[in-house]
Amino acid sequence: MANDKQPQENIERARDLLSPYLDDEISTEERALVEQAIAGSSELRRELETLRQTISLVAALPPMPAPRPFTLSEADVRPVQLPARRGFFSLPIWVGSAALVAATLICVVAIGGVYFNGLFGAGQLAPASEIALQQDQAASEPAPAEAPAAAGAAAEDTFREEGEPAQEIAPAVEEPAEEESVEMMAEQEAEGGAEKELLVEEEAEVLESEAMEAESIEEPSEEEAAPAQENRASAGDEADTMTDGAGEAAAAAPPQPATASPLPLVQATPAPAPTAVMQATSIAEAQAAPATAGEAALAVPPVDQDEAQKLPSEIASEPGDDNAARLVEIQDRTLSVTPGLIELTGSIEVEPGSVLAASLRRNGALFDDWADPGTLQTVVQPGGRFMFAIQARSDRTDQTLYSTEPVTYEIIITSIGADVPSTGPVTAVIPFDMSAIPAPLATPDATATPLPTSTPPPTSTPAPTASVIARVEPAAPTPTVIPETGQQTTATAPASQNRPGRLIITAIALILGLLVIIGLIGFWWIVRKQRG
Amino acid sequence: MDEAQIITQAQKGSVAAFNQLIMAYQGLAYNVAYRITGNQETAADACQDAFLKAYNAINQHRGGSFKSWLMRIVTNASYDHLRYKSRRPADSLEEITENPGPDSVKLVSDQERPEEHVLRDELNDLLQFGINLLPEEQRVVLVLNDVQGFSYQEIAEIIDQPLGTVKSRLSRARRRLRDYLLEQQELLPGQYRLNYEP
Repeated sequence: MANDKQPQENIERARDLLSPYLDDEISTEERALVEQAIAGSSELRRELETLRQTISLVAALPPMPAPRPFTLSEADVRPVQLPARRGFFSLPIWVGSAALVAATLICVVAIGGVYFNGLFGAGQLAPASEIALQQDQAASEPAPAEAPAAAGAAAEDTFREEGEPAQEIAPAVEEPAEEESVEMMAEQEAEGGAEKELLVEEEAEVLESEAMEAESIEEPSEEEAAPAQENRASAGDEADTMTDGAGEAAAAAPPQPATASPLPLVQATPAPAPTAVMQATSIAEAQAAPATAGEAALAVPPVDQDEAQKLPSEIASEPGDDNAARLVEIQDRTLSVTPGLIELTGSIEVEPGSVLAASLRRNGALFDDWADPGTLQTVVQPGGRFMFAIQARSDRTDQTLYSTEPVTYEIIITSIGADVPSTGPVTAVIPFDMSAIPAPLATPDATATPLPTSTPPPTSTPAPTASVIARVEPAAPTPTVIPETGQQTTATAPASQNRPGRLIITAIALILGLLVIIGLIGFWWIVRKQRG
Repeated sequence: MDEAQIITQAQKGSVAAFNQLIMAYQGLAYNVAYRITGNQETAADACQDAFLKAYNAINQHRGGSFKSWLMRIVTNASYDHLRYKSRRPADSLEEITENPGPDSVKLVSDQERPEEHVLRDELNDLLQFGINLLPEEQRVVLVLNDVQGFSYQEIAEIIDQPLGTVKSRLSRARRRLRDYLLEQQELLPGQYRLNYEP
């Protein structure tokens, strides 16, 4: 057969073209190819014929009459009137939407309030006594090492955040140092007008009254009962007698731990105005304490190291000391600590021309060897103005004084020389904390590397007492401000104590926010479902 | 009024005008749907849906062959109903009884004797069964071309595929149906059997 001799390729192609060939839907070339293949292949001819018969059978299928007319009526084509969309609980959707938007805004405001202190009485000044008590409470704990360098500036806000009444805090004050503050309060009352002149702010009275309340609440321990009674009994007497009571009260305080930054007297003093608390010492002691500055222009008798290492409270509590130092306060005090330099200025209640000697302590231990002895003395200027520029010795490797560990420095100022006021020598303790600085600033301390010159010198506003804290001026916050011990402690402790509450509120706000989001998604889903 | 004017009226929202189009094409639409779905009721439902969709989309018709445009909607609706039926294959006995389907619809021609009518019905059933066995894309092309007489070009427009695709699909559909009929040769009446006398 000739058909078997055709190329299989042509047969296959012709087979594919049989269908369009029957419909005459192929080109002339394809037709020629198909006809040639058909002519030579009986198989293709058979396929073509059966295919033609199949098409004929299918084409012969009878038409099916439509079972019904499919015409449309007006009702069929009328747009479906969806019922008015309703939200939850048959409320219009806009009501639910508005409610959800309002809830979202509330959550946003709540979160914002948490983070921006909007819900914690921002801008309200806490009572001074409360601050003092908080300071006392916080002073018993070391300041957190992670406290930011700007805590000094933030301290203002933190101070003002706390708006709880003092009565709520006073009963909780059970530390001996806090009780001591009550005693010091009585002591200050006994000192009469001289002390009260320093209470320059209105908070002083509030502070005092609240401290008295705390005193009435607090029952002093047996050990402290006697000096306290003595203080109360000596109220209205002469100043020296009263200071004896103060010295005894101070002596009754337990020894301060080495890491405890604030001094008890400083912590406990609720007087609002003074910038530092002075404690009287004897003239001899006062002259002896800063006498290590032998190169000073003013001749000062050498100081006994044992005496010098004593805290003012210890000095003042020397038994049989009739010439105990009087507590005075430094007005307009400024304290600036830069690498290798401590600058302290202020106004002290001593006669112009008197010599003030400074002594440094680190965690309660004598630290005078840090400073150039010649810079540890200064002369009081008219108006009681003085300025210390305590420079570090060149061989010191810790010129920055910075430390990541809790460390407290103290500057003890004592009046010496011939022109002491008639009231006797005075001394002051200005503590400051160098641990509450950020790690990058603390590094130079460990490595004895001076701070970069580009780094602004850290300064601090001396405010070891509650009154000073209450008087914190709204100075522009700068990250270089280094708060002092009391201030820093007060600044950080309430914040850390308040942190759990803030976290809880933040968490609640976040949960509410999530619920709102879930609600919105569900609302959208329901609306979409209703729309069908 | 010609078809274009009727379409224009329908595009303006005239249901009456659109019903004229329905009356003109419902037979064709129903047959296409029936051959695609293989079920009378399904075809009727598909047609009804197709006409409603066509009315709602009449403004999307931008000229061209209204018939092809309508058949495209019909085939798509038939596809939809076919797939819907395939998901619910079990017809209830009541539905079958009340709607016996095309097999029970026996048209009796005046020129056709009862015996011939029966034989013809058997052939129709066998052909429809064979058509139903075809893949959907091949079935549509075969129905449109061999049953309804649409040209290749029209089919290409309806199914929105190239002309070559139409050719190949139709060729495969015919060959498959032919093979099926050859397999069922014994069931076919003698005069309808595929044979070839060389």
